[in-house]
Amino acid sequence: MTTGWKYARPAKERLMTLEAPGKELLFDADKGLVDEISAKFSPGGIAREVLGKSEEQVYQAMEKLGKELMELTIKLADGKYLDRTGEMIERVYRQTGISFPHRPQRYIELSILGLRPADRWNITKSTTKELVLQVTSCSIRKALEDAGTSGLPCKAFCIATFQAAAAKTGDRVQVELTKTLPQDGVCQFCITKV
Amino acid sequence: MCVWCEKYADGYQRWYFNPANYARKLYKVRKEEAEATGAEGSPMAAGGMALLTDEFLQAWDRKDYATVDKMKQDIEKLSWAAHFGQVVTLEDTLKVIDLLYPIAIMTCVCRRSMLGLPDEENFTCIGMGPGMYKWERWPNTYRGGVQFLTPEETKDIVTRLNKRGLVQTLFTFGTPYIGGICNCDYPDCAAIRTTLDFGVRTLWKGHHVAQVDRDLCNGCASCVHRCQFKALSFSPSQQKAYIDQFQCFGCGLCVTECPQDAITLVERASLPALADVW
Repeated sequence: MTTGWKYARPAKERLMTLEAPGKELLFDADKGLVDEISAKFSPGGIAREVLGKSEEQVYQAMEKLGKELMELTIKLADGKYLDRTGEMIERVYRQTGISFPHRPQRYIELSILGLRPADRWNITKSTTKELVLQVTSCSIRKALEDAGTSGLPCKAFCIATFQAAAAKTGDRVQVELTKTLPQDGVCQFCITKV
Repeated sequence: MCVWCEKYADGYQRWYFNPANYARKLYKVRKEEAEATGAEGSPMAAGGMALLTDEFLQAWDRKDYATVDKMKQDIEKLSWAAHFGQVVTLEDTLKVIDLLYPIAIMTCVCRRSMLGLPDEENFTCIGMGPGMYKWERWPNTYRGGVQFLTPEETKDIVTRLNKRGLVQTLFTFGTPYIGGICNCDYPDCAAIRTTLDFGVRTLWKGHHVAQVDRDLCNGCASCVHRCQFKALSFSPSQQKAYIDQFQCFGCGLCVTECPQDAITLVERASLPALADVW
Protein backbone atom coordinates (compact mmCIF):
# COMPACT_ATOMS: atom_id res chain seq x y z
CA MET A 1 0.00 0.00 0.00
CA THR A 2 1.30 3.45 -0.85
CA THR A 3 -0.08 6.72 0.41
CA GLY A 4 1.56 9.24 -1.89
CA TRP A 5 -1.76 10.94 -2.61
CA LYS A 6 -3.69 12.72 0.11
CA TYR A 7 -5.59 9.45 0.39
CA ALA A 8 -4.22 5.91 0.16
CA ARG A 9 -3.51 4.03 -3.05
CA PRO A 10 -3.78 0.28 -3.27
CA ALA A 11 -0.92 -1.88 -4.48
CA LYS A 12 -1.96 -3.08 -7.94
CA GLU A 13 -0.75 -6.62 -7.40
CA ARG A 14 -2.84 -6.95 -4.25
CA LEU A 15 -6.01 -5.19 -5.36
CA MET A 16 -8.95 -7.57 -5.66
CA THR A 17 -11.58 -6.45 -8.12
CA LEU A 18 -14.95 -7.90 -9.02
CA GLU A 19 -14.28 -10.95 -11.13
CA ALA A 20 -17.74 -11.55 -12.50
CA PRO A 21 -20.13 -8.68 -11.75
CA GLY A 22 -23.69 -9.92 -11.74
CA LYS A 23 -22.75 -13.54 -11.18
CA GLU A 24 -24.46 -15.04 -8.15
CA LEU A 25 -21.89 -16.06 -5.55
CA LEU A 26 -22.76 -18.45 -2.74
CA PHE A 27 -21.43 -17.22 0.59
CA ASP A 28 -23.52 -19.20 3.07
CA ALA A 29 -23.20 -22.84 4.13
CA ASP A 30 -24.61 -25.26 1.60
CA LYS A 31 -27.64 -27.21 2.79
CA GLY A 32 -26.09 -30.30 1.18
CA LEU A 33 -23.12 -30.07 3.56
CA VAL A 34 -25.46 -29.86 6.54
CA ASP A 35 -27.49 -32.83 5.28
CA GLU A 36 -24.43 -35.00 4.65
CA ILE A 37 -22.97 -34.31 8.09
CA SER A 38 -26.35 -34.82 9.76
CA ALA A 39 -26.70 -38.17 8.00
CA LYS A 40 -23.48 -39.45 9.58
CA PHE A 41 -23.46 -37.67 12.93
CA SER A 42 -26.26 -36.78 15.31
CA PRO A 43 -26.37 -35.80 18.99
CA GLY A 44 -28.48 -38.91 19.72
CA GLY A 45 -26.02 -41.13 17.87
CA ILE A 46 -23.10 -39.67 19.80
CA ALA A 47 -24.89 -40.33 23.10
CA ARG A 48 -25.57 -43.93 22.08
CA GLU A 49 -21.88 -44.46 21.21
CA VAL A 50 -20.85 -43.86 24.80
CA LEU A 51 -23.61 -45.73 26.61
CA GLY A 52 -22.35 -48.19 29.21
CA LYS A 53 -18.72 -47.10 28.94
CA SER A 54 -16.45 -46.11 31.80
CA GLU A 55 -15.66 -42.43 32.32
CA GLU A 56 -12.26 -42.77 30.67
CA GLN A 57 -13.69 -44.68 27.74
CA VAL A 58 -16.40 -42.04 27.31
CA TYR A 59 -13.78 -39.28 27.05
CA GLN A 60 -11.74 -41.30 24.56
CA ALA A 61 -14.80 -42.03 22.46
CA MET A 62 -15.80 -38.38 22.52
CA GLU A 63 -12.37 -37.29 21.32
CA LYS A 64 -12.46 -39.85 18.52
CA LEU A 65 -15.92 -38.75 17.39
CA GLY A 66 -14.90 -35.09 17.49
CA LYS A 67 -11.93 -35.74 15.21
CA GLU A 68 -14.06 -37.80 12.83
CA LEU A 69 -16.67 -35.06 12.61
CA MET A 70 -14.01 -32.50 11.74
CA GLU A 71 -12.40 -34.76 9.16
CA LEU A 72 -15.73 -35.11 7.38
CA THR A 73 -16.47 -31.38 7.67
CA ILE A 74 -13.11 -30.41 6.16
CA LYS A 75 -13.52 -32.91 3.32
CA LEU A 76 -16.93 -31.54 2.40
CA ALA A 77 -16.12 -27.86 3.04
CA ASP A 78 -13.01 -27.89 0.87
CA GLY A 79 -14.42 -30.21 -1.78
CA LYS A 80 -17.95 -30.71 -2.91
CA TYR A 81 -19.37 -27.77 -0.94
CA LEU A 82 -16.61 -25.16 -1.19
CA ASP A 83 -18.32 -21.77 -0.95
CA ARG A 84 -17.22 -18.24 -1.81
CA THR A 85 -16.59 -17.31 1.84
CA GLY A 86 -14.14 -20.19 2.09
CA GLU A 87 -12.43 -19.20 -1.15
CA MET A 88 -12.10 -15.59 0.02
CA ILE A 89 -10.74 -16.62 3.43
CA GLU A 90 -7.98 -18.57 1.64
CA ARG A 91 -7.23 -15.68 -0.74
CA VAL A 92 -6.97 -13.22 2.14
CA TYR A 93 -4.72 -15.66 4.01
CA ARG A 94 -2.41 -15.85 1.00
CA GLN A 95 -2.23 -12.03 0.89
CA THR A 96 -1.72 -11.31 4.57
CA GLY A 97 -0.22 -14.55 5.85
CA ILE A 98 -2.70 -14.48 8.76
CA SER A 99 -4.48 -17.80 9.21
CA PHE A 100 -6.01 -17.42 12.66
CA PRO A 101 -8.86 -17.04 13.52
CA HIS A 102 -10.95 -17.42 10.39
CA ARG A 103 -9.42 -20.45 8.67
CA PRO A 104 -10.10 -22.73 11.66
CA GLN A 105 -13.25 -20.78 12.58
CA ARG A 106 -14.71 -21.65 9.20
CA TYR A 107 -14.41 -25.39 9.80
CA ILE A 108 -15.63 -25.06 13.38
CA GLU A 109 -18.76 -23.19 12.33
CA LEU A 110 -19.55 -25.60 9.51
CA SER A 111 -19.16 -28.59 11.82
CA ILE A 112 -21.59 -27.08 14.30
CA LEU A 113 -24.11 -26.21 11.59
CA GLY A 114 -23.81 -29.73 10.20
CA LEU A 115 -24.14 -31.66 13.44
CA ARG A 116 -26.60 -29.49 15.34
CA PRO A 117 -28.18 -26.85 13.14
CA ALA A 118 -30.79 -25.87 15.73
CA ASP A 119 -28.35 -25.14 18.58
CA ARG A 120 -27.84 -21.59 19.79
CA TRP A 121 -24.24 -20.37 19.72
CA ASN A 122 -22.26 -17.27 18.95
CA ILE A 123 -18.77 -15.94 18.28
CA THR A 124 -18.00 -13.25 20.87
CA LYS A 125 -14.34 -12.59 20.14
CA SER A 126 -12.47 -13.10 16.92
CA THR A 127 -9.03 -11.51 16.89
CA THR A 128 -5.75 -12.68 15.42
CA LYS A 129 -4.86 -13.97 18.90
CA GLU A 130 -8.07 -15.35 20.33
CA LEU A 131 -11.34 -16.89 19.22
CA VAL A 132 -14.18 -17.17 21.73
CA LEU A 133 -17.17 -19.36 21.02
CA GLN A 134 -20.22 -19.48 23.28
CA VAL A 135 -22.83 -22.24 23.14
CA THR A 136 -26.03 -21.41 25.00
CA SER A 137 -28.15 -24.35 23.90
CA CYS A 138 -26.41 -27.66 23.21
CA SER A 139 -28.18 -30.70 21.83
CA ILE A 140 -25.17 -32.98 22.49
CA ARG A 141 -25.20 -32.21 26.20
CA LYS A 142 -28.98 -32.69 26.23
CA ALA A 143 -28.70 -36.06 24.46
CA LEU A 144 -26.03 -37.22 26.92
CA GLU A 145 -28.12 -36.05 29.85
CA ASP A 146 -31.18 -37.86 28.47
CA ALA A 147 -29.07 -41.01 28.13
CA GLY A 148 -28.09 -40.74 31.80
CA THR A 149 -24.44 -39.77 31.29
CA SER A 150 -23.18 -37.62 34.14
CA GLY A 151 -20.70 -34.76 34.05
CA LEU A 152 -19.71 -32.93 30.91
CA PRO A 153 -17.83 -35.49 28.78
CA CYS A 154 -18.96 -33.68 25.64
CA LYS A 155 -16.30 -31.05 26.32
CA ALA A 156 -13.79 -33.62 25.04
CA PHE A 157 -15.80 -33.84 21.84
CA CYS A 158 -15.89 -30.06 21.27
CA ILE A 159 -12.24 -29.54 22.19
CA ALA A 160 -11.10 -32.37 19.91
CA THR A 161 -13.17 -30.91 17.07
CA PHE A 162 -11.66 -27.45 17.49
CA GLN A 163 -8.13 -28.80 17.80
CA ALA A 164 -8.57 -30.85 14.64
CA ALA A 165 -9.68 -27.72 12.76
CA ALA A 166 -6.63 -25.79 13.96
CA ALA A 167 -4.35 -28.71 13.11
CA LYS A 168 -5.66 -28.70 9.54
CA THR A 169 -4.87 -24.99 9.13
CA GLY A 170 -1.48 -25.28 10.84
CA ASP A 171 -2.43 -23.03 13.74
CA ARG A 172 -1.00 -23.99 17.13
CA VAL A 173 -3.74 -23.30 19.63
CA GLN A 174 -4.75 -23.89 23.21
CA VAL A 175 -8.43 -24.63 23.80
CA GLU A 176 -9.94 -23.88 27.20
CA LEU A 177 -13.47 -24.30 28.46
CA THR A 178 -13.90 -21.24 30.68
CA LYS A 179 -17.65 -21.44 31.35
CA THR A 180 -19.85 -24.49 31.41
CA LEU A 181 -23.46 -25.42 30.96
CA PRO A 182 -25.71 -25.55 32.86
CA GLN A 183 -24.33 -23.62 35.85
CA ASP A 184 -22.95 -20.67 33.83
CA GLY A 185 -25.77 -20.74 31.30
CA VAL A 186 -23.20 -21.10 28.54
CA CYS A 187 -20.29 -23.25 27.43
CA GLN A 188 -17.53 -20.81 26.56
CA PHE A 189 -14.52 -22.02 24.62
CA CYS A 190 -11.46 -19.78 24.40
CA ILE A 191 -9.21 -20.83 21.54
CA THR A 192 -5.92 -19.01 21.92
CA LYS A 193 -3.09 -18.94 19.43
CA VAL A 194 0.18 -20.04 21.05
CA MET B 1 -20.51 7.86 29.48
CA CYS B 2 -22.08 7.81 26.04
CA VAL B 3 -25.28 5.86 25.50
CA TRP B 4 -23.38 3.31 23.37
CA CYS B 5 -21.01 2.58 26.23
CA GLU B 6 -23.96 2.15 28.57
CA LYS B 7 -25.50 -0.37 26.18
CA TYR B 8 -22.59 -2.18 24.59
CA ALA B 9 -19.34 -1.74 26.57
CA ASP B 10 -20.01 -4.84 28.70
CA GLY B 11 -17.33 -3.96 31.23
CA TYR B 12 -14.80 -2.54 28.78
CA GLN B 13 -13.65 1.08 29.10
CA ARG B 14 -15.53 2.08 25.93
CA TRP B 15 -18.03 0.28 23.75
CA TYR B 16 -15.60 0.21 20.84
CA PHE B 17 -13.04 -1.67 22.95
CA ASN B 18 -15.47 -4.55 23.40
CA PRO B 19 -14.30 -7.30 20.99
CA ALA B 20 -17.84 -8.69 20.79
CA ASN B 21 -18.81 -5.62 18.76
CA TYR B 22 -16.47 -6.75 15.97
CA ALA B 23 -17.04 -10.51 16.10
CA ARG B 24 -19.64 -12.32 14.04
CA LYS B 25 -20.35 -15.77 12.71
CA LEU B 26 -18.98 -16.46 9.25
CA TYR B 27 -21.87 -18.68 8.25
CA LYS B 28 -25.53 -19.32 8.28
CA VAL B 29 -27.24 -22.06 6.30
CA ARG B 30 -28.05 -20.91 2.78
CA LYS B 31 -31.64 -19.94 2.17
CA GLU B 32 -33.58 -21.02 -0.88
CA GLU B 33 -34.56 -17.47 -1.84
CA ALA B 34 -32.06 -14.88 -3.10
CA GLU B 35 -30.29 -12.75 -0.48
CA ALA B 36 -31.08 -9.05 -0.25
CA THR B 37 -28.33 -7.02 -1.86
CA GLY B 38 -29.89 -3.59 -2.28
CA ALA B 39 -30.78 -0.95 0.27
CA GLU B 40 -32.78 -3.53 2.23
CA GLY B 41 -29.72 -5.71 2.62
CA SER B 42 -27.10 -3.04 3.16
CA PRO B 43 -26.98 -1.13 6.44
CA MET B 44 -24.85 1.50 4.75
CA ALA B 45 -27.46 2.13 2.07
CA ALA B 46 -30.17 2.08 4.70
CA GLY B 47 -28.25 4.32 7.10
CA GLY B 48 -28.76 7.88 8.18
CA MET B 49 -27.03 9.85 5.44
CA ALA B 50 -29.07 8.19 2.71
CA LEU B 51 -32.22 9.14 4.60
CA LEU B 52 -31.60 12.86 4.25
CA THR B 53 -34.02 13.17 1.35
CA ASP B 54 -35.23 15.96 -0.90
CA GLU B 55 -38.30 16.18 1.28
CA PHE B 56 -36.08 16.99 4.27
CA LEU B 57 -34.13 19.62 2.34
CA GLN B 58 -37.28 21.25 1.01
CA ALA B 59 -38.72 21.44 4.52
CA TRP B 60 -35.38 22.90 5.65
CA ASP B 61 -35.45 25.54 2.88
CA ARG B 62 -38.98 26.67 3.66
CA LYS B 63 -38.10 26.77 7.38
CA ASP B 64 -40.77 24.22 8.24
CA TYR B 65 -39.15 23.39 11.55
CA ALA B 66 -41.89 21.06 12.75
CA THR B 67 -41.40 18.78 9.73
CA VAL B 68 -37.62 19.07 9.93
CA ASP B 69 -37.68 18.13 13.59
CA LYS B 70 -39.93 15.14 13.04
CA MET B 71 -37.86 13.89 10.09
CA LYS B 72 -34.65 14.47 12.00
CA GLN B 73 -35.86 12.27 14.83
CA ASP B 74 -36.91 9.52 12.40
CA ILE B 75 -33.60 9.66 10.55
CA GLU B 76 -31.56 9.54 13.74
CA LYS B 77 -33.57 6.63 15.09
CA LEU B 78 -32.96 4.59 11.94
CA SER B 79 -29.35 5.67 11.67
CA TRP B 80 -28.52 4.73 15.24
CA ALA B 81 -30.01 1.30 14.72
CA ALA B 82 -28.35 0.64 11.37
CA HIS B 83 -25.39 2.84 10.50
CA PHE B 84 -23.88 5.70 12.45
CA GLY B 85 -20.41 6.82 13.39
CA GLN B 86 -18.41 8.07 16.34
CA VAL B 87 -15.20 10.07 16.28
CA VAL B 88 -12.20 8.30 17.81
CA THR B 89 -8.68 9.48 18.51
CA LEU B 90 -5.77 8.00 16.60
CA GLU B 91 -4.58 6.34 19.79
CA ASP B 92 -7.92 4.57 20.28
CA THR B 93 -8.11 3.65 16.59
CA LEU B 94 -4.75 1.89 16.80
CA LYS B 95 -6.01 -0.12 19.78
CA VAL B 96 -9.21 -1.04 17.95
CA ILE B 97 -7.24 -2.44 14.99
CA ASP B 98 -5.94 -5.22 17.24
CA LEU B 99 -9.48 -6.30 18.14
CA LEU B 100 -10.64 -7.41 14.72
CA TYR B 101 -9.83 -9.17 11.50
CA PRO B 102 -9.87 -9.15 8.48
CA ILE B 103 -9.19 -5.58 7.38
CA ALA B 104 -9.35 -4.11 3.87
CA ILE B 105 -8.96 -0.69 2.33
CA MET B 106 -11.75 0.27 -0.04
CA THR B 107 -13.15 3.30 -1.82
CA CYS B 108 -15.15 5.92 0.08
CA VAL B 109 -18.80 6.23 -0.94
CA CYS B 110 -18.96 9.76 0.44
CA ARG B 111 -16.07 11.06 -1.63
CA ARG B 112 -17.44 9.25 -4.65
CA SER B 113 -20.69 11.18 -4.39
CA MET B 114 -19.48 14.47 -2.85
CA LEU B 115 -16.25 14.95 -4.82
CA GLY B 116 -16.81 12.63 -7.77
CA LEU B 117 -13.40 11.12 -7.06
CA PRO B 118 -12.51 8.30 -9.46
CA ASP B 119 -12.16 4.94 -7.74
CA GLU B 120 -8.41 4.67 -8.20
CA GLU B 121 -7.85 7.89 -6.21
CA ASN B 122 -10.47 7.20 -3.60
CA PHE B 123 -9.08 4.53 -1.27
CA THR B 124 -9.76 6.02 2.15
CA CYS B 125 -12.22 3.79 3.93
CA ILE B 126 -11.34 0.70 5.89
CA GLY B 127 -13.81 -2.16 5.96
CA MET B 128 -13.30 -4.73 8.68
CA GLY B 129 -14.66 -7.84 10.29
CA PRO B 130 -15.99 -11.12 8.88
CA GLY B 131 -18.40 -9.30 6.55
CA MET B 132 -15.42 -8.25 4.43
CA TYR B 133 -15.03 -11.83 3.18
CA LYS B 134 -18.36 -11.23 1.45
CA TRP B 135 -17.51 -7.87 -0.11
CA GLU B 136 -18.55 -9.10 -3.56
CA ARG B 137 -22.13 -9.29 -2.31
CA TRP B 138 -22.37 -5.49 -2.76
CA PRO B 139 -20.76 -4.87 -6.16
CA ASN B 140 -21.67 -1.20 -6.33
CA THR B 141 -20.23 -0.35 -2.92
CA TYR B 142 -17.02 -2.24 -3.69
CA ARG B 143 -16.81 -1.51 -7.40
CA GLY B 144 -13.29 -0.10 -7.00
CA GLY B 145 -12.11 -3.32 -5.41
CA VAL B 146 -10.48 -3.99 -2.05
CA GLN B 147 -7.00 -4.63 -0.75
CA PHE B 148 -6.72 -6.76 2.35
CA LEU B 149 -4.20 -5.58 4.92
CA THR B 150 -2.39 -6.84 7.97
CA PRO B 151 -3.10 -5.00 11.24
CA GLU B 152 0.36 -3.42 11.07
CA GLU B 153 -0.22 -2.15 7.52
CA THR B 154 -3.55 -0.73 8.65
CA LYS B 155 -1.99 1.10 11.57
CA ASP B 156 0.59 2.62 9.23
CA ILE B 157 -2.06 3.85 6.78
CA VAL B 158 -4.35 5.26 9.46
CA THR B 159 -1.42 7.09 11.07
CA ARG B 160 -0.42 8.62 7.75
CA LEU B 161 -3.96 9.69 6.91
CA ASN B 162 -4.29 11.24 10.36
CA LYS B 163 -1.08 13.18 9.74
CA ARG B 164 -2.62 14.42 6.49
CA GLY B 165 -5.58 15.84 8.34
CA LEU B 166 -8.21 13.11 8.18
CA VAL B 167 -10.35 12.28 11.22
CA GLN B 168 -10.81 8.65 12.29
CA THR B 169 -14.40 7.54 12.84
CA LEU B 170 -15.88 4.14 13.62
CA PHE B 171 -19.11 3.16 11.87
CA THR B 172 -21.68 0.54 12.76
CA PHE B 173 -23.27 -1.75 10.20
CA GLY B 174 -26.25 -2.97 12.16
CA THR B 175 -25.56 -1.51 15.63
CA PRO B 176 -23.60 -2.53 17.69
CA TYR B 177 -21.56 -4.36 15.04
CA ILE B 178 -18.70 -2.01 14.08
CA GLY B 179 -17.58 -2.69 10.52
CA GLY B 180 -15.62 0.32 9.34
CA ILE B 181 -12.93 2.84 10.17
CA CYS B 182 -13.48 5.92 8.04
CA ASN B 183 -10.93 8.65 7.50
CA CYS B 184 -13.07 11.74 7.18
CA ASP B 185 -12.92 15.45 6.55
CA TYR B 186 -15.32 18.29 5.83
CA PRO B 187 -17.02 18.66 3.38
CA ASP B 188 -16.30 15.23 1.87
CA CYS B 189 -17.85 13.18 4.66
CA ALA B 190 -21.62 12.85 4.48
CA ALA B 191 -21.86 12.07 8.19
CA ILE B 192 -19.94 15.22 9.18
CA ARG B 193 -22.09 17.27 6.82
CA THR B 194 -25.43 15.96 8.00
CA THR B 195 -24.34 16.42 11.60
CA LEU B 196 -22.78 19.89 11.30
CA ASP B 197 -24.88 21.43 8.56
CA PHE B 198 -28.29 19.99 9.37
CA GLY B 199 -28.04 18.95 13.01
CA VAL B 200 -28.91 15.34 12.15
CA ARG B 201 -26.63 13.34 14.41
CA THR B 202 -25.33 10.51 12.26
CA LEU B 203 -21.87 11.16 13.70
CA TRP B 204 -21.37 11.24 17.46
CA LYS B 205 -18.73 13.21 19.27
CA GLY B 206 -15.81 11.25 20.69
CA HIS B 207 -14.85 10.58 24.28
CA HIS B 208 -12.39 13.44 24.44
CA VAL B 209 -12.36 17.22 24.21
CA ALA B 210 -9.44 19.43 23.20
CA GLN B 211 -8.27 22.32 25.34
CA VAL B 212 -5.67 25.02 24.79
CA ASP B 213 -3.06 26.02 27.34
CA ARG B 214 -3.11 29.73 26.69
CA ASP B 215 0.30 30.23 28.30
CA LEU B 216 1.91 27.80 25.89
CA CYS B 217 0.01 28.87 22.75
CA ASN B 218 2.20 31.19 20.66
CA GLY B 219 -0.58 32.18 18.28
CA CYS B 220 0.88 30.54 15.20
CA ALA B 221 -2.66 29.37 14.16
CA SER B 222 -1.29 26.26 12.48
CA CYS B 223 -3.94 24.19 14.26
CA VAL B 224 -6.93 26.06 12.85
CA HIS B 225 -7.03 24.42 9.41
CA ARG B 226 -6.90 20.95 11.00
CA CYS B 227 -10.32 21.21 12.62
CA GLN B 228 -13.06 19.55 10.56
CA PHE B 229 -15.83 20.49 12.98
CA LYS B 230 -15.75 24.31 13.06
CA ALA B 231 -14.67 24.18 16.70
CA LEU B 232 -11.26 25.81 16.40
CA SER B 233 -10.70 29.45 15.57
CA PHE B 234 -8.04 32.07 16.00
CA SER B 235 -8.67 35.05 18.22
CA PRO B 236 -6.99 38.06 16.54
CA SER B 237 -7.45 40.23 19.60
CA GLN B 238 -5.77 37.78 21.93
CA GLN B 239 -3.47 36.17 19.35
CA LYS B 240 -4.37 32.72 20.66
CA ALA B 241 -6.15 29.63 19.40
CA TYR B 242 -9.68 29.29 20.70
CA ILE B 243 -11.62 26.01 21.00
CA ASP B 244 -15.39 25.92 21.34
CA GLN B 245 -15.53 22.81 23.50
CA PHE B 246 -19.27 22.36 22.94
CA GLN B 247 -18.49 22.03 19.24
CA CYS B 248 -15.30 19.95 19.64
CA PHE B 249 -15.62 16.32 18.52
CA GLY B 250 -12.41 15.26 20.28
CA CYS B 251 -10.56 13.85 17.27
CA GLY B 252 -7.19 15.22 18.34
CA LEU B 253 -6.04 16.47 14.93
CA CYS B 254 -5.23 19.88 16.41
CA VAL B 255 -3.15 18.28 19.15
CA THR B 256 -0.73 16.61 16.75
CA GLU B 257 -0.31 19.81 14.70
CA CYS B 258 0.59 22.16 17.54
CA PRO B 259 4.36 22.85 17.58
CA GLN B 260 4.15 24.16 21.13
CA ASP B 261 2.29 21.15 22.58
CA ALA B 262 -0.22 23.71 23.80
CA ILE B 263 -3.29 21.60 23.00
CA THR B 264 -4.22 18.47 24.93
CA LEU B 265 -7.14 16.07 24.95
CA VAL B 266 -9.09 15.56 28.15
CA GLU B 267 -11.82 13.04 28.90
CA ARG B 268 -15.23 14.43 28.04
CA ALA B 269 -16.62 12.79 31.16
CA SER B 270 -14.19 14.78 33.33
CA LEU B 271 -15.87 18.06 32.38
CA PRO B 272 -19.33 18.25 33.98
CA ALA B 273 -20.71 20.71 31.44
CA LEU B 274 -19.66 18.49 28.53
CA ALA B 275 -20.19 15.04 29.97
CA ASP B 276 -23.55 14.69 28.24
CA VAL B 277 -22.73 16.63 25.09
CA TRP B 278 -22.38 14.03 22.36
